[in-house]
Amino acid sequence: MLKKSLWSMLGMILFVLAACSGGEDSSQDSENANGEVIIEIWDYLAPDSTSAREQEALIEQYQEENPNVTFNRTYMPFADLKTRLLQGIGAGELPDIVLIDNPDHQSFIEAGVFADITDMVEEWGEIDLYFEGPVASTMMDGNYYGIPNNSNALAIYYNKTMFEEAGIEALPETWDEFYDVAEQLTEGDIRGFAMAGVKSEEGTFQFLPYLWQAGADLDSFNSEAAIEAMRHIQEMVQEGIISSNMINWDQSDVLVQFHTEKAAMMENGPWQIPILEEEFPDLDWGVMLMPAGADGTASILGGENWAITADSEVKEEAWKFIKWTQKPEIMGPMHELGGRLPSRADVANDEQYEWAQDENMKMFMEQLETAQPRAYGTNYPEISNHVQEAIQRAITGEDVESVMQSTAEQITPLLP
Amino acid sequence: MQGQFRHTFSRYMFFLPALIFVLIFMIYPIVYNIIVSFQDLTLMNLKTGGQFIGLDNYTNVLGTATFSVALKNTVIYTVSCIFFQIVIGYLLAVFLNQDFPFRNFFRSIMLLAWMTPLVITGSLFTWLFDVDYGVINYILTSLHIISEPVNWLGQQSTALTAIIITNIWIGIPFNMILILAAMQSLPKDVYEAATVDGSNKLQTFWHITLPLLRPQLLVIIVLGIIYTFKVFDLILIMTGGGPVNATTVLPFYGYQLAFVNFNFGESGVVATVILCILLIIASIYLYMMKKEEVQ
Repeated sequence: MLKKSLWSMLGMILFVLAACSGGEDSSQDSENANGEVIIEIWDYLAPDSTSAREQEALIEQYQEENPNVTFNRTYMPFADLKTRLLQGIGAGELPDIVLIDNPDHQSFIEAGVFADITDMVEEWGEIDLYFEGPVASTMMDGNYYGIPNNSNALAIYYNKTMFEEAGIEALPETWDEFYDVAEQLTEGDIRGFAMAGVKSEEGTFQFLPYLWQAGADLDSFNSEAAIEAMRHIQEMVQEGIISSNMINWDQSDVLVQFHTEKAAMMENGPWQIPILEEEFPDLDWGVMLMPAGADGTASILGGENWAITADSEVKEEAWKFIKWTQKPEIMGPMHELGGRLPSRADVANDEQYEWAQDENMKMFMEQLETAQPRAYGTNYPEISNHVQEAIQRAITGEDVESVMQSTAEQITPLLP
Repeated sequence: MQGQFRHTFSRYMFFLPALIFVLIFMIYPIVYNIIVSFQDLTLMNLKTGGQFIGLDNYTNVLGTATFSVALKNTVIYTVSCIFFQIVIGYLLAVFLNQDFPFRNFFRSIMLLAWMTPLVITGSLFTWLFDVDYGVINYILTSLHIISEPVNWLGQQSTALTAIIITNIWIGIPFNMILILAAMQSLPKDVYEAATVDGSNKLQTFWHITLPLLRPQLLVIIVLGIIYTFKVFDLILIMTGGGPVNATTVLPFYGYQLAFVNFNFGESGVVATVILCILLIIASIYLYMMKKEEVQ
């Protein structure tokens, strides 16, 4: 009697343990005898967003054309994707294809997550058609670990009605002109300009263009030019041209300031265009290039890259799919659907697509030519942390020179 | 003898599922975390496993200015939150312990603050504290308490205070309910005796209510400290640890090291420090409870 209960209990424990380990990934042996292939994709394109719409359309169309291929697409929120990739490394369970934010690409290359696909890319022979910046973000030591899919850059949105009311006719092209115009537009609780200064990657993303416009870079963070760039922002905050609240704003908060007409201009990316068009049709706005500093105009490159994981067993099939998405006749309509900008010149210059027709999109395409990638090696996230701190210290009124000096000391050893 | 053993053994078997659960989901992560804190584990060697590097992580992390700021912030945050939550919670409990119409309605509606998800409360207070449109600034300037709107979350001197106020608001109802429950179990006759002896309200509080509530208050304080000490969501939603590091607390700092900088070893150090502090608090609590029982 006793024995019986003992055994049944042991049995139950074993059953529970077996159930726990039952979640084995079925895609590990994904190619069976009939040539059927399962490709697993991870991305962070939020459900119902325009870019997720594009991703689903791509998968659907490819499956129709290639009945032997089935996709398993998993969406995870932006911040979770990195965490899940990390857990995947630990557990040895990674998908076949990852759509990754381009500043993170290099870190994960170095972690050994992505496959070196140099041979395939060279055989394909179309990589020369792509813009330099996006391609650089997929490379490490001269080898290719992915393909840029779409790009974005920051530019300045401006409220046409407010410009007219203030009698401003010429769009500002330099820092000084920009400052004057923004000052003119600042009145009461309406600010001339809005940008994000939140303590996250978005803060760094919005500040780096100024650093480059001034002619500095992260390796010269304490130079005259870099100090000038930070001072430019600090002055605008101190004069009330930018709300001191920018310290807590991310890029969607900045959009709120703009569409509620509390800010006459904002620094933002092309992904806000569909939102402004669809949800705020009464707002009369335009896009202009970022103002030029001592070193001309410059912007920052964002966007997603395709990458194949090193452990994938269906690399050939995955590459076939990625190559297919990059065909001009596929990419053109698909990127239009997704409201994204292409990273390859032939598609970008094709007159039939909206980025070659729409005035605002065209501005972003032009700005993209001056966009630089955040290719600062694997310590970039930590460097970015220090930059965010520097921005916040400056906004809250600390002496810019000492801020830049101490930050330079922190980030120099982290640079490659 | 044999049968005796088998008898007790089978009884211990009932204990096994719980034991396995504790081992896998509690002991293992803690031990693994301590091991990692002695390793050079980053994104680069996550696949192969980190090297043992002795106390390097500890000297690196404990030496940084950010760590001391985070520790200081955590202590200030925990102490002030618990203090105000319990004092205000107690006063409300006294109030709701009276008999008046709709008492139960008010008791339950008070819990709303506790039941609201932190993401919502956090976003809500971010708007309330807003420098341009915030209601709090509007009220304070209208009453001429301040002349200029204060950028509560945007400057180093006030950001932590603003978050503490938010968390006090969240925590009051929970403390109130616990104290209220404890108060209702107090014997009535002591109070009657005190009234007969002519003790005033304050004396009654100091000499009767407080000593009688002591064991329950101890539990509430210790639970509160543990719960408050691991604050993370509020910080992430309201300030992201900024401005500069004004609202960086230990759990947030650990998260940043692990999931932003990908330095798992150093993050392990922060987690171990948190574990040690909470262990000390828990042991003090156990010691005090034991003393209580002896009395």
